[in-house]
Amino acid sequence: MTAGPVLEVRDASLVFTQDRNELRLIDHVSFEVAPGETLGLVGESGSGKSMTALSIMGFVGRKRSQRLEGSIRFRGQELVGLPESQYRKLRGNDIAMVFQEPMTSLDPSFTIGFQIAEGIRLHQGLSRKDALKRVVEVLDLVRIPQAHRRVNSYPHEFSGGMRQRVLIAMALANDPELIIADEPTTALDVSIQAQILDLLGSLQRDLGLAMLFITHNMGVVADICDRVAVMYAGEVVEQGGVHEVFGSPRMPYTERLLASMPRLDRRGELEWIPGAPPAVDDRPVGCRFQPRCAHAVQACGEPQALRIVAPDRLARCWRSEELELGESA
Amino acid sequence: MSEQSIQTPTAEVEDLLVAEDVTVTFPLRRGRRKLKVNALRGVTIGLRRGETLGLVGESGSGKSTFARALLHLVDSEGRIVLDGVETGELSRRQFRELRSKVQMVFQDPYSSLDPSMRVGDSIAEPLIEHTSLNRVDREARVAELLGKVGLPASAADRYPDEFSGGQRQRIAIARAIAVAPDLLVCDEAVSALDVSTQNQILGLLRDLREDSGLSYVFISHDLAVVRHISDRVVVMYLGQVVEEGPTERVYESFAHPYTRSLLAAVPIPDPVLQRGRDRGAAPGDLPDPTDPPTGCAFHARCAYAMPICAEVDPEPTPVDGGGSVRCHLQTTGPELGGRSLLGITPVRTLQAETAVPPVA
Repeated sequence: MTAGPVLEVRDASLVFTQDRNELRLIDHVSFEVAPGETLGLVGESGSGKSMTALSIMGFVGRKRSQRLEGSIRFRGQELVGLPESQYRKLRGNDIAMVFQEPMTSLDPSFTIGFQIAEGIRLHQGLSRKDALKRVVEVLDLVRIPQAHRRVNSYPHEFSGGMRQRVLIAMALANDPELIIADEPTTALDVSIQAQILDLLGSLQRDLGLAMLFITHNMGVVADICDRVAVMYAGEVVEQGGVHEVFGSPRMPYTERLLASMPRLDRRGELEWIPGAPPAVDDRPVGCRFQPRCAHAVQACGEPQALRIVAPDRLARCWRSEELELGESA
Repeated sequence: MSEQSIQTPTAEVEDLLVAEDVTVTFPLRRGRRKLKVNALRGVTIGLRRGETLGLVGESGSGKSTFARALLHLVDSEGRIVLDGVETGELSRRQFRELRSKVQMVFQDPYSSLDPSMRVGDSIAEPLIEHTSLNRVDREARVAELLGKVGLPASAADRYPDEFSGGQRQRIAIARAIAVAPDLLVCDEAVSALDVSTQNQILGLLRDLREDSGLSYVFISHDLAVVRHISDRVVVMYLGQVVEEGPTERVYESFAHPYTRSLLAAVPIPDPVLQRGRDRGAAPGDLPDPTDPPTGCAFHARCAYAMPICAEVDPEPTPVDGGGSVRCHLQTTGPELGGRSLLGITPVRTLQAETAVPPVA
C-alpha cells in the first residue's frame, strides 16, 4: 500500500473573471480520497460539485478568464498548472471519468469496441488485436453478456443501462487508480441504477479503485460511499465518514438536507429548507447558509472555516459543538 | 357518438375519473419493417374526487402515455369517463370545453412557458380561451393566482428566464389552475428540482388540494415522493397496470414481484438500513415493446416465475387490504389468494450476472 491519498485537493478555487467581477465557482475546496476509498461529493445544483470534478480533470481553469487556485495533487503530483500535454497522459489513463449521459459520451457512428480500443491503443500502445482482447476483457468485467460479440455493436443497439456499462468499461480499460463518476446513475431507471451501483461497488472492491462519486442523491451516497463531503454555495461545509455524517450531522445544512429527503421506508410530512441557495454573485458574507439557517446568530456573519469538530469530522460552522442537531435517522 | 350520450351518467358520483381498458398503439418503423408498439395495454384506473393517485413505473412503462391519452393528446381505444362524461364520444369542440376540467403540469416548465411571453400573459392565456373575463378582471385573476402559488403580483410583468426552476414550476402551476380544473395531471412535475425546492412545490400542491379540492394524477419515477403524497398508487410495467391499491398497502405489503423489485432498488438515505437491505433489483432491461413476451410481461426478469407465467397473461386479482394485482402467484403456485408476497423466498436468487441481453 502506498502511503498518502490518491487525490488531495487543498484550498482549490475556480475563479471566473467577468467584467472585472470575480466569481468563485468553487471556493477553497479541500478533501482527500484514499486508495480503495469511495468519497461521495454531494450537494444541490450549483453547489460546485461538478465544477470540482472538471477542475480535477483539467477541463476548466486553464484560461485567462478562468483560473484555478490552490493545489490538486494526484499521487503527490501537482495538477494545478500542469501542461495540457502531460494532462493528456493522465486523463483516461490514471484518472478516468464516467459521466451522467451515456449517449452523449459515446460516438453513435463507431462500434463500442472501436471506441474503447482507441483509448487503450493511445495510452498502452497495444496492437489492434491486443487492444481488442483487452476490450473484451473489460466488457466482461462490467458484465456485458457475450462481450466478444457485442464489441461490434453500435451505441444505439444498447439500452441505457448497457451504455453506462460500456462507459464504465471505457474508464477501466487502462487500469486507472482513480475514477471520477459524475452522477453516473442519475439518468437511469431505479432498477438499472441498482444494477450499476452493485457493479461499481464490486469493481471498486475487486480492483481496489479510489472513487470520487458525485451525486445529489443521498440514498446513493448511503449505498456506495465510505466518506462524504457536502458542498453548499461553492464550499465544502461538512466532511466525514458516511455513517457519522448521516447519523449525526455537524452542520445545520447537512442536517436539513437529510431531513428533507423523502424516505421510501416510511411516510411522513415532507420538510424543506426555506428559500434557495444564493446565486454565485450574491453570496452572503460569513456563513453562506446563514440566511436560511434556523440556528443563525449575529456571529455567523463572520467568515467560517472548515475545521475539525470531532475525530475525522470537519464542519464549516462555529456553533457545531454547541448545537444539538437532530438525528437524521 | 350522439350528443345525448354526454348526459348519460356513466360513473359513480364520487369518481372523478374512470379509465377502462384504455389501449394506445403507436406505429413504428424500424428500417424497412413496420412495427406496432403497444404503449398501453388495457389500462383500468379509477380516481375519486379530492384524491391523489400516484402513477409509478420505469421508462417505457406507459405512465406518460396514459396522461396523454387522458388529455386526448394521443388516440386511444377503451373508455375514459371524466366527471360523468364519456370523453371518447365528444366532438373536438365539446372536448375543448371539457379540457378546462383537466390541466397538466410537465417536468420542464421551460418547455410549457413561452420564453418570449410575459409571465402574466402566459397565465392569462387559458382565461382567454375558457372564460369571458375582460382584461381588467383577467389581470386581477392573474395576480390572485400568483399569490396562490406564493409569487408576488409583480411577477406578471417579468419573463420566464428571470425565475429559478422552482419559481417557473410555480408559474406553470398558476397557469394550470387558472381555469379552476378538477384534475391536475402532474407528469414528473418536480423531477428536475433539487430536493428542498421539490418539497416546497409538493407542499404547494398539497395546500391547493386542501383549499380547492383538486385531484391529482401524479406521475413520477420517484417512489419515495409518491409514497408521501398519494392516497392510491398504480404500478405500471410495459403498458400494463401490474398492481394498484391504497398507498400504504402497496408499499408495506406489495403483492407483485415487480413492485417488490422496484421498491428494493430505491436506495434509502440511511447507510445502516441501506447496507442491511435485501436488494433484489430485477436483472436485465425492459423487454422490447414491439415484441412483448408471451404470458406475463415480467416473467423473464421475475425471481418467482413459474411455467404458467410464460404462457398465460394473468388477470387482475383482488388483494387483501385493497387494490388488485396481476400475478399468477395469486392463483397458482403458493396460492397467496390475494395476499402479499412477504414471507415467500424467491425461487431463484437474482444477480446482475444473469442479466438477459438487452434489446438489440
